[in-house]
Amino acid sequence: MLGAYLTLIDNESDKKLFEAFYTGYKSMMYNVAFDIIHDVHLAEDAVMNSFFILARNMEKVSDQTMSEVRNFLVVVVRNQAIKIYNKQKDITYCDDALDDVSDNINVVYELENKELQRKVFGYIKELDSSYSDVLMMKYFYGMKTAEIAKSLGLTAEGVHTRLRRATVKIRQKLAEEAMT
Amino acid sequence: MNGNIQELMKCSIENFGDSYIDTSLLSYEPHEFSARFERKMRKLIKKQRRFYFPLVKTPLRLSFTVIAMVILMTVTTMMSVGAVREAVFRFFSDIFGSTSTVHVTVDNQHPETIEEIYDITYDLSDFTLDSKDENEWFRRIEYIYEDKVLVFYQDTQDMFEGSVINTEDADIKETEVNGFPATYFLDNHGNNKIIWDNGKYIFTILANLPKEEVFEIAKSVKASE
Repeated sequence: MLGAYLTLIDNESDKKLFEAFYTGYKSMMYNVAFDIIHDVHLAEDAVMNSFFILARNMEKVSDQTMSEVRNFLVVVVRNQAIKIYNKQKDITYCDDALDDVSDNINVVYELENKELQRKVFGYIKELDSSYSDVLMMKYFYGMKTAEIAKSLGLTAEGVHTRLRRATVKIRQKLAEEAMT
Repeated sequence: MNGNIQELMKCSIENFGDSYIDTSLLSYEPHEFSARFERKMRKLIKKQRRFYFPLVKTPLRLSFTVIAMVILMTVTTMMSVGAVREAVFRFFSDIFGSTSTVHVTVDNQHPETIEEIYDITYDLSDFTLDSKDENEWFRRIEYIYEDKVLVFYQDTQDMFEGSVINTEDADIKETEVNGFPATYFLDNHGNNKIIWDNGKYIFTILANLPKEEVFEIAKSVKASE
């Protein structure tokens, strides 16, 4: 019975958090979705889907700050909105069709160099959000491939492809800068 | 300390990821959501509260969650001047996942909001009221006594629709409560659970008490004076 109690407490706390996120961010999420879809009902659907995804990932976000959860929700709702938009327009985005890229270059970087980190993060923000969102999900929120795929409406292979391509793009940026 | 490009990206994101989203997003016009949206979200929030939700909220477990149990509720005829309604429901399909989603055919006979309060009239003097949650669409009251837990739900039909129930290893039986068809099972946490529809609302009693006592408690549920 202890298990049931613990789950009850756990869930009560999750519930309060969930309601706080819902109340605090639903309008912001709607605006993000509406900017992409330009349809009231479809934007609401994107927000709704995103809260279902949040519900499934409460364990991941319950230790995050409010602003970190806000960022997570923006990433999720943006991807849900894009997914709905593409579906409406019958656009198929096929990651598998992208050029295969090699990621076997062994360059060593100074991990503790803050300036380098800042620069790399700037490059990440410059990437198309379809790439940077996957990187954020993986490295900031510690999500596994399957969880990222589910949250962003991708296949696991699609997640891997985007991670690989994002990595190559960042490496290219660093290499270009080193040349100048 | 040196590392590869993935490790560098990881460090960068860990240290600067807070600024990933443009804070200008914080300035936005509040949006008035549709009734449909609000209704769906209320359901989701309600499900967050139910203690079996952790069983199904992970994607992996959800993948094993199959819609397995369908309750068809048809309404009923007026039986007498007292306007007693008899609800009829049936189960379709088999249970083949660890959880079941209950689908109800929403009709226009059940009240859309809680217009009449029902409570347990069974002697619960040993118990203390632990928590009470209620709004226009549902009521949830939890009582505890030592290691015993008793939870009573009164849901509108629309609110109940789509509830996810832990039915792992459960032997679901059709039964009745005060003449109304009911569903009973013992869940894998040792809780006896009874669900029934009196034609107005859907009630659930869940408790780690003996089966007979749980049925007595269910039978004692009455509209408050």
